[in-house]
Amino acid sequence: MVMTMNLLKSDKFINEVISYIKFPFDREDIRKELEDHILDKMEYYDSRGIDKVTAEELTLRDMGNPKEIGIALNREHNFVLGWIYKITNALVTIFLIITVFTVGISLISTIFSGNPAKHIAKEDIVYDIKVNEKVKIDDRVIKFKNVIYEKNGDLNIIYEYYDTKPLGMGWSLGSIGTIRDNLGNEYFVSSGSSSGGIVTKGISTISNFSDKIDTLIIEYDMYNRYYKVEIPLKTGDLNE
Amino acid sequence: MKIDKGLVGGSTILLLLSLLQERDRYGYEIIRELETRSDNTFQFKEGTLYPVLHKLENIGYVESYLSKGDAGRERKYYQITKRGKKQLIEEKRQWETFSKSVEKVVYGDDHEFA
Repeated sequence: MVMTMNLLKSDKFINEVISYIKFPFDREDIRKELEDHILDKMEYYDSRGIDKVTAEELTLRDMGNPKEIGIALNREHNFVLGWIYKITNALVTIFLIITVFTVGISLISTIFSGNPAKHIAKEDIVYDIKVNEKVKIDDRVIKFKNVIYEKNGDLNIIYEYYDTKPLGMGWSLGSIGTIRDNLGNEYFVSSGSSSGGIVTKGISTISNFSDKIDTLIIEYDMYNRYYKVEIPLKTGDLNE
Repeated sequence: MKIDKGLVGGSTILLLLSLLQERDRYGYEIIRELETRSDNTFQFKEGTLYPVLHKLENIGYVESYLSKGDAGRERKYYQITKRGKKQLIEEKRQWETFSKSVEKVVYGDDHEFA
């Protein structure tokens, strides 16, 4: 018998576990994993002839204390803050926690062919800075084209990439790197791109980006490959 | 990397990595296997398995992926990594040293393993 998740006590249990997890991006994955476990255990009790209500109670007893589980899981899902704590001092960590959760960063990544920024109306643009910086990872060239800051506080990084060898590398570009600013704030960015034949174009957007920031820093440091691009933000052309 | 034994419990990592070296498994499957093989000697509060698995993934000893597998429903499976396999060798070595030392203390130097 296959069970579906329509169980109030189990939902309450999982909600309590999740409530201790401060890093919001991992909560739904954890919820799904715990739901699957609970359903499996309930099927086990069901196969032994135990009624659904009792099976749920026994299962939740077997799972353990939701607060203990939530606190332990939370320890494993603050890895970014954990690394930052190791590298810098505690004051910087506290500053970053306050900044991340009060500024309310949300990530938007849009897939386009052609001009990735064509959805941005000219009258919404505060400035459009031509960057035109190139970096290379193995045989892939990544070109940061421009940065567009909108009146609604969105900062858009437009880039494109292509492979210098004819057969190419076959992998799509994941993260363009860690995005920081001159004040030390770090932004979570996921990259989205469209394959337009030889050149793939992409746009990454940071919401609620402060107009007080004067430098954007894109730093890639993975798999023994490294690049760093610094983009001054104060100067730029207002898009007429 | 140093492992906080107080956090994860003495031989938990050895047990988990051993099971995952045999094959990829999902959380509930690991719990059932531990209980079955140990004749129910090893019984955990089942939810407490997940912080340990996530810790192993953060360290790099295991990786996770979603799959329907044989069980029908899509679940999160865990797979041991190369780094995890190396750590497992070390865990086994530590366990053998530890258990031999216990034997020597409890039974004296003349005792040999059966």
